[in-house]
Amino acid sequence: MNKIKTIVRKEWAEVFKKRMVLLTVIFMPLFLSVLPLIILYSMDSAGVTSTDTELPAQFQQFCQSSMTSGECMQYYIVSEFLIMFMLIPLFIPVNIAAYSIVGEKTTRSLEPLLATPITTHELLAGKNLASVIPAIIATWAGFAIFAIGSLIITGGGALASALLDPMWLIAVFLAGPLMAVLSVNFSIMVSSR
Amino acid sequence: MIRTENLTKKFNLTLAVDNLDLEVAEGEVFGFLGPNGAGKTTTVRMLTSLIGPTSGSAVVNGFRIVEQDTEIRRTVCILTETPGMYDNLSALFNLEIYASLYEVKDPKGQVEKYLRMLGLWERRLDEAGTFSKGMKQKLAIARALLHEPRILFLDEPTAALDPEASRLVHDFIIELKKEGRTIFLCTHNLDEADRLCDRIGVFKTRLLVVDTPSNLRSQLFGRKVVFHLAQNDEKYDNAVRSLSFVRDARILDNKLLVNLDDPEAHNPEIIRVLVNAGADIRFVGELRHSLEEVYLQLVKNA
Repeated sequence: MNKIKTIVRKEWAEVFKKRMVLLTVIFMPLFLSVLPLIILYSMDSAGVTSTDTELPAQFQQFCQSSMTSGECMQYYIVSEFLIMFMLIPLFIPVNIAAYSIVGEKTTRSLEPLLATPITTHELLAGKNLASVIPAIIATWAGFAIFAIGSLIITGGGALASALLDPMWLIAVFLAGPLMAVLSVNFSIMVSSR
Repeated sequence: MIRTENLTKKFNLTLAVDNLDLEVAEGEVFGFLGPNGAGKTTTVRMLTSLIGPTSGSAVVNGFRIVEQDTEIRRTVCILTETPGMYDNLSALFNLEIYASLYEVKDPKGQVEKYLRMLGLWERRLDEAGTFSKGMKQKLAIARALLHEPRILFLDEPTAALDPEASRLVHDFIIELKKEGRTIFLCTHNLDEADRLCDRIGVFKTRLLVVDTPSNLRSQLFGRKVVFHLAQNDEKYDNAVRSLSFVRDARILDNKLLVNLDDPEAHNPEIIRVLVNAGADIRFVGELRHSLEEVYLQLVKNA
């Protein structure tokens, strides 16, 4: 376990000195959580939520019956952005994992590392965790910003409860990490060839 | 300490190492010489459990390769031409990582010991990327020694270094030998091998020969003694050539070159013969073939 921790510490110390990686981990989730909030806020300020015009049936089936047509439109537009929270766990770890293997190859540091008594499983576990943990934290932090922001903007009404639907929560908190693990392993496989 | 039996490695159809049988004793500095692409690094990679052999076996420090890879890695180290440090991490952190991976009992103490020993303590917080090649190699030496390995595999450790840095590595090898550690040294630097190694093995896919540098010289070229004479006369080399133990003798300018198996035993007799023939001997010395000549001859014959 100590060796895995050492690899994680080493990866983070190395990788987060790269501006590109740092930008991906911090900026992308932040942007994707703030953008839907801006849309929500702009629509709210423009009074869209109170509109009660007739919406096509295809729109209505997405929304709860308690929602106004305006809220339904808001929900429809903003929920498109929620899918982005499924993509963050795919993008961030790929960036970190690819650097972690390719970086070892270019600096010729892989051979001394492999010459230590670390097992292949420990090395891969360390590299996996070093990529997956920041991706999960970034996704969850981004989603938390979005959740709190949307509660504040919408005042916690039907729209807020629709946006924070249990399906979305499962997707972000369970499917997200699994997708991150999948993407890291794929990335390690490709970059280690 | 190191024993290989029919150790063979193939990469697809390319035979890199062919039935290597080798023994290296504890405390020995063994030079592994060969041209580029001879399979030296492949051999080192097999002996350090980085890659598995295609066939054959090897025992390193009492542990069998493939079956006891982790145990081997705990007790050996590898130092290559490229130090392979994490350039954007500090020297201290670089060593702390490896101290942890090697499960060193007193990591802080060991890291400090070797950083101080190699004169890097003052720059321990600087990124390794800011170090010169020589300093990086020093850092790599420190990293290699953190877990106090009994066997060191040094693969071209001075190839990219200037003479001053090379000297430091040589001095360090001598120190390690004094401590009784076994050193397996792959090198192209024949002068380095000549000065440091107890025995050398010349390798080109298969092992061509193993012996001490001086034995290799005498086996290939015999030993040549030069008698500097005051005069040049054919009768001197005729007189010397008539001696049964003389393999060959020829006179060149005022120098008589005599090929012998045992100069220490036969030189007095030759001197007597020359003096009786009327020669004035000014100086006697041994003509030493360089290891480079030995190596080139062996590789050419292969």
